[in-house]
Amino acid sequence: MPENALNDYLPVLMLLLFCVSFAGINLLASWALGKRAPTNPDKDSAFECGMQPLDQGRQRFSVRFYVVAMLFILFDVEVVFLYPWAIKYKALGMFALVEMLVFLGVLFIGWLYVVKKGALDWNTQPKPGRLNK
Amino acid sequence: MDTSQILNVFGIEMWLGVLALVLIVADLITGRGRLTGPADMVRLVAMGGLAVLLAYAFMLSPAEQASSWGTLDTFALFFKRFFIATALFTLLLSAPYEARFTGGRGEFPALVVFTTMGMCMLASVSDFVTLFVALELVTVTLFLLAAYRSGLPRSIEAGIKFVIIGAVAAAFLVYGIAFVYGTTGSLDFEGVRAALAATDEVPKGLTFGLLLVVVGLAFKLGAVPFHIWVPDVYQGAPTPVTAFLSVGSKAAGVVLLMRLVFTVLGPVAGQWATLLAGLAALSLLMGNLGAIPQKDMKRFLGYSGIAHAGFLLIAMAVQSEASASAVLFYMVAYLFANIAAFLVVIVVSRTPDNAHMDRINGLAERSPFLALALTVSMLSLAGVPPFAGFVGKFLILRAAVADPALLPVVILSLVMIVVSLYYYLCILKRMYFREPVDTGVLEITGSTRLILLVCVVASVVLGIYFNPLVVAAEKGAAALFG
Amino acid sequence: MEGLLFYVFGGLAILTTLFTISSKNPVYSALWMIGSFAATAAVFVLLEAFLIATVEVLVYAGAIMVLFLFVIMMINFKAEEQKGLRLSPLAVLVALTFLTLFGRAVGDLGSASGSKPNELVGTPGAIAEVMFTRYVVPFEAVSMLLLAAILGTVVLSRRNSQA
Repeated sequence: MPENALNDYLPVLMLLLFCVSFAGINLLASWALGKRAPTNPDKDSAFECGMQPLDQGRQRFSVRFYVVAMLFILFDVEVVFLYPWAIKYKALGMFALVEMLVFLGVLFIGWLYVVKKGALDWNTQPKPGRLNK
Repeated sequence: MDTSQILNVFGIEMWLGVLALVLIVADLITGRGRLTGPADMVRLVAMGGLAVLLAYAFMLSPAEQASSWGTLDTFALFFKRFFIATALFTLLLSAPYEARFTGGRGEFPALVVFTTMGMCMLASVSDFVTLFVALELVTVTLFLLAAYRSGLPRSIEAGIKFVIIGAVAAAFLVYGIAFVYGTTGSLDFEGVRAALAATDEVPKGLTFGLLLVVVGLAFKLGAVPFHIWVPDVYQGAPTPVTAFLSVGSKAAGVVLLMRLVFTVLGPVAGQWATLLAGLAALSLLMGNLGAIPQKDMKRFLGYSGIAHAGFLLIAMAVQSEASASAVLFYMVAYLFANIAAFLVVIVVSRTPDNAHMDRINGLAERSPFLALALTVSMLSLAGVPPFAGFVGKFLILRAAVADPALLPVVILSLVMIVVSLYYYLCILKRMYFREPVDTGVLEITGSTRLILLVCVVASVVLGIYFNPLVVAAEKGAAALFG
Repeated sequence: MEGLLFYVFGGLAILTTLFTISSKNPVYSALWMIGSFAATAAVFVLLEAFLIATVEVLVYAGAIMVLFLFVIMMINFKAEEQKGLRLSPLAVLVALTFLTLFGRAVGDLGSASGSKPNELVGTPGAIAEVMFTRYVVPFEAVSMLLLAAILGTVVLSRRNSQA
């Protein structure tokens, strides 16, 4: 039994070996077959190709990306819980269905909250807060 | 798979969850999707709901038979009431503070209710899986609450430090649980206890696992050497959250450590006493000596909290029924003293939220009532008779002297009580004999007065007429040994 | 075969983790970390913990790494601030103590380490059977945990964007 279970993963292992060897052979082949010229700093410099870069290529970007990424992780984890349930759905029956509905219901409120508060609105600025008094 | 059995044990938690959902929906409706809706309604609903649940918890009687889901014994019930009361106090405390939350007020009560739900679950856990999930529910919401004033760098700093330390603590805990499961094949407390009782020679892997679990919980408790986060987080977090942390989070660590030490580790209790006593001694030293030079009230209370964790650890090292009941009493005394102290800090620090000790200079002139409340709170924390804190310390030390091996720690704790008296009295000196630095008007609302009055009266009454609570604490502790 | 693969992937996991903590450039660290997650997932597969292996790839190597890279982008180290692994003597001492304890604990596992994992435990179906019956309470608590995290994400990020 355990041997069978692992056999399902044999294709994954083969794919892995294929990927590694494909990348490795290509790198190796280009190293072995390609021509090599002595390196020259002047040749590597940008010559009449526009401005020298002023800043780093990477720049800070809006906090919205993080919000989306974090919310994605949270709902991703939710989906992970669906997976084992879906496999055993018939055997677990009514009780697990109700459980899952409660689970999803709670997170549905979370989704409602995210949408209603406009956390995923990309274009509009956050609405100005109305203070308590 | 009996639903009624689960609800029997986790009924309060279910209702707390429902309450939290109601709060979120209420916030969405009243806020009309705005960022910061009016929060008064949400907070009132939260307080009403918690009050009803507190009453419900007092009416509830412990379940007759233990189930594998969790235990609802008198011990669990005692702490559930404690946690709900703490949450109620926290929300009351947040009312005068709320103007300082620049946005997102509606979510604050919901997050507090979530934390409370996790804490109440912790009181009833009987397996490591539920323990971990409930503990994460508590810590994650506390991270968020600590960073809640995200406009303030200090609050963000507190949140980030708390997250990193919390993650390390969780890693210790999970790693320990993995070792416990690997060596015993059981995730239930009962199974681990049976495995410990079955062999004379405990496998090293199991000891290692349990050690890591204890370390993970010691972080929660703020015991030395796992205390580094305490002063920074206490100082940076919004003051009502600090109050919640100092009482609720510490009690969450206490309830788990007690279950672990008194029931799971029961068969090998002797081997663990030395370790716990060592942690206790370090916490006493570090907390009390560290508190002396502090210039910020919240930081100061943080160090004092570390010292109190030391006292609680002494009681756990003793491992008798008397010491367990002493812990329960001590926690209640600590609750009232701490809530009063933090409420005074909230009022005194005013809008700039400056908790420097100068701000309490001459408090007796500016508001005799606040000064009185803080005096009672400090004396109760110091353990001066006739306040509740004295009875708590007395009960712990009385239980500790029964064990001759703990004599050095007891002597150390007596010395440290004298040291603590010094710094608590310094606070009194500032209030009564110094000129006020801050001369602004102190906003003391009716609810502030009421809470302070409750805390002062409770500290005094429990210090004189302590018998009912001692009996209740003994009943609660008996369940652990039953 | 299984034993050999275990050592291959276990070694890879250790190696990639070492690169993760010693890389000078945090982006490289993050990329090595993906390798570490992948190797760990492979070890989980060999232990027949298939669900955890899937989660490791899906959540950790997928979603969490995205967040890691975002955060690295946000912090945006200048080249001169990038330093590799620095060892403080105290940290080394603590780590060695931990390693010693760990080694002794593992050395004492004895019979437990020799036995095969229970073949039913790791499959998604087996986990479902336990999760939806014995561990209902923590399962539902997880939904509350996620909801609280959603609330926190929205609340904290909002004020940041306003500031």
